[in-house]
Amino acid sequence: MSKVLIAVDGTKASTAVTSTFYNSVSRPERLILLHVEKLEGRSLMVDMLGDAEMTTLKESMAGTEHKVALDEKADKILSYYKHEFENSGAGEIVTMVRAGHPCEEILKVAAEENVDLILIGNSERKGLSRVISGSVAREVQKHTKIPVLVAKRPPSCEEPYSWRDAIAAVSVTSAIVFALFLFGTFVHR
Amino acid sequence: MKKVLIAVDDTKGSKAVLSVFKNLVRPPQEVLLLHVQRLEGKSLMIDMLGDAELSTLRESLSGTEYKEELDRKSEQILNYYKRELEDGGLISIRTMIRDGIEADEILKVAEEEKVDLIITGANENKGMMRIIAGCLPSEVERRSKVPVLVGKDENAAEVYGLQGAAQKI
Repeated sequence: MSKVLIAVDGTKASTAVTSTFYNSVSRPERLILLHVEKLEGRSLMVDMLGDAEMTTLKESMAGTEHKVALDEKADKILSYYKHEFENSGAGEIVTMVRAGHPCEEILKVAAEENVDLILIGNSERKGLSRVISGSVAREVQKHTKIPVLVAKRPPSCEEPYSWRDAIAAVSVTSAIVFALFLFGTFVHR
Repeated sequence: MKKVLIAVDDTKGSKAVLSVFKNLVRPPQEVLLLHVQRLEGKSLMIDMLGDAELSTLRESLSGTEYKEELDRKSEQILNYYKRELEDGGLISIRTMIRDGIEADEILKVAEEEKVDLIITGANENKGMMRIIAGCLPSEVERRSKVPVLVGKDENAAEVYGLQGAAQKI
């Protein structure tokens, strides 16, 4: 067991990788923390760009404020995770920042570094937004020959009051009020 | 880590769980080996059956030769994996046989037994087959509440693909 690649981003879902790593993965000699900057923010345009357009985009972005802000954010994310993993007993921790298409970059780095496992958080997208923007974890898992561990965020505490409870509460209250009202008129007579 | 659920079947892709488990996972206290029997063979009908129809199917199958054959096969599969894991120095291995819809049963067992990690093998379906029959690891991964490790085995990659055959010809 030598190399593990952990792909992280700024989402909450991504924090699940920490606990999963501590609980399930045997300690690697080399731990690679990778963050892929999405140059277009949340736009889905990036999926449609070819290599040539991507390089043009990268060139035109270099040195701009937006890119500087992205780099700062990437640094923050990576230093957070580096701190988290420092006491894990992993041999060597390397951080990496790439820009471009998340899935492709993750696969590229995995191939370059010849890693043995890819650990990735699961975006908890549901329904339509999942259909449109897809899941990076799923895509990575589909395209690689390397084992993929998909971390899941522990189910957050269930909503204390759902709309069902609200309806139940309202109907019970109105039933009581109605009963009291009937009782009142009955006694009055 | 306490419990790990390993879902196995008779495909080559499933063998990847062994190397993955050996190399990457922290040794757990207990391993659950699960095999889900496909009552309908490779037919896709099973995805359309509701609970009621499934239980009818189970009842009508119980005691038949076909079911016995299935049971024997699952015993074989589970024994194979159990032996392989025991060679790796594991002691507490529990085997389990379920029947029905694979993803559903895996998730059900994971929930009942409160496992910490699910390991599945890779899916071998490609292209059109994948669209029709779906991908078990993906489905488990999507619906599971616990981390899912998808085993892949580079050695298990196709020895003779379509391209290799074309070249030879």
